[in-house]
Amino acid sequence: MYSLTRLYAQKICRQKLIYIFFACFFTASFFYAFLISTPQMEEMLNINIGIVGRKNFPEFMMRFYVGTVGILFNVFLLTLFICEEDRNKMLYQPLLHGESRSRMIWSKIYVAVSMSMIFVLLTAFINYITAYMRWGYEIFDQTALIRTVMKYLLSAIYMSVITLGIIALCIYTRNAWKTIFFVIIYLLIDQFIYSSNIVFLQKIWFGYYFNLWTFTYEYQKIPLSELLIGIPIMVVYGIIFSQISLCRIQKIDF
Amino acid sequence: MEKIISVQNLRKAYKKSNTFDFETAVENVSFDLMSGNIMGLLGTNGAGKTTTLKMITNLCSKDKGKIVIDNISLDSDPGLALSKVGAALDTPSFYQELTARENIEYFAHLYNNIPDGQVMELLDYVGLSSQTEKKVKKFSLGMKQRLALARAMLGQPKLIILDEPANGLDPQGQINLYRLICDMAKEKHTTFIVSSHQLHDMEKFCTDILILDKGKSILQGKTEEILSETTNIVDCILEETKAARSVLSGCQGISLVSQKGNQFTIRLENICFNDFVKKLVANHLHIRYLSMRKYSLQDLFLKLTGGVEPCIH
Repeated sequence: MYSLTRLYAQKICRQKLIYIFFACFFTASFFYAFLISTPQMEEMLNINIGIVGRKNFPEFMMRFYVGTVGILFNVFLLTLFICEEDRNKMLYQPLLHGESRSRMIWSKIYVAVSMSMIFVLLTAFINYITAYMRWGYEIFDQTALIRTVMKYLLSAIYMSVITLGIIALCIYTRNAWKTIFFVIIYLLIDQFIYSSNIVFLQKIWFGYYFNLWTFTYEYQKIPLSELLIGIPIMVVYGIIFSQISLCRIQKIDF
Repeated sequence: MEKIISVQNLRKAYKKSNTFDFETAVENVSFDLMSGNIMGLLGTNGAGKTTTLKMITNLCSKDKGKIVIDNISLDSDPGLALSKVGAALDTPSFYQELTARENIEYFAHLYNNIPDGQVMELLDYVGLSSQTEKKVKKFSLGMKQRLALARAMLGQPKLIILDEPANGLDPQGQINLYRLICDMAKEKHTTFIVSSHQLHDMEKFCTDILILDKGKSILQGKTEEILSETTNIVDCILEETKAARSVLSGCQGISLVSQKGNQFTIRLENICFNDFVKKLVANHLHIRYLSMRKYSLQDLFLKLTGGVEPCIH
């Protein structure tokens, strides 16, 4: 399985989409950092959002990435990685060379989850670079730094679960556009649940905890109880998604 | 010779879309194949050829039946059984951005026992040694077919399965490909299952034939035996079309296969060629053209599948 995982990692690293996306993200981050630094914009954004500026910049950009842009990027990347390979009759090729279906899907999962976590860390790196270029050492204020790093790590867990969900969708639908459609529906439902007052649904919805963690403002601490509940719930979702992928792949007639 | 593959009572049904009905794709297909033999899997579109091949390679589940590859049951140890099989199914597909060598190396990494240099040897064997560094997206279909064969040969499988490998190849490319398959079968004792529509070529190089129609096996056996047991075909052009037709229709021992104007195709069943000519002369039919040919696999295929046999022009 190691060989196949390595091959898939090489394959995904060859995707030009990744480099184009992060070049665009860096540019956006750079311009955003310099744009919001103008007194008028800073004032406007502070009034409207109340969280942007200086040491909070990497945290603000993280929400921008993990909340929507990163998920959509992951969907496009994974549909290329799974659905397009399936359409081009390449997905089953390892099965003709001694690999089993479960080993094949586990390799895909390892690579995709690792990539999604690396992308979150890469986002953090890009945001800190642009923030440093704009504000210098000010952004490394200890309290803000610890909180932001913690949020990035929690976001990496969330992105892993989202990635497992997207893989399950790709395997189940075997269609790129259906997968993208369902992920957009997920994003809408996620926002609805977070902003609703349906407590029971919120408690079992993994996206709720991500929103709870990342929308905790500078002056708020992430409640430990929410962490203790949220992480296991995300893990449970991750296990369910990976089991769906595993069960489904066994039944596919290529 | 050892038995390389044994397939027994294979069955597969698909659920029809938007209904609760099932459609049988393959029904009760069985065959055995010995080492070094080449089996031609024939059938019209939708006859169940690809489904059969995909069941053998475990890409498609089977509803019933047993597949044993090199004495290993596919059900009990699919990994080991399939390690003896190489396959090129569907349209040849590759990573378009990679070169021919990189594509083969990519899959070679999945094997533990591929010696250094074997990738280049394989590419050389299929006649792509001068194209190794060319990106696959620039390959013609014929080159992709050859590359697919090289990929199927990785790991030196005992059984190679090729699904319509001659599709899209020019006549010379087809001959070269079939020659390559025959050489491999003779030199390396590799066994082949080849599905194809190229009946004329299949007749020449396949040792065994299996014809499927609507998922069922309608004829199977050794190619030589099948063709020797069959009758001959006569193509003729006769004057007095109406009279000729009534004579030919009423004549015992022959059957009229097709007619287009005054061109007739006749199957000789219980009558020799000389007697047939004598009958035509005795009935005062004026013969403008007469030729006998051996019953070809194509004739047999069309007869069995209910197709229309071609007329002479």
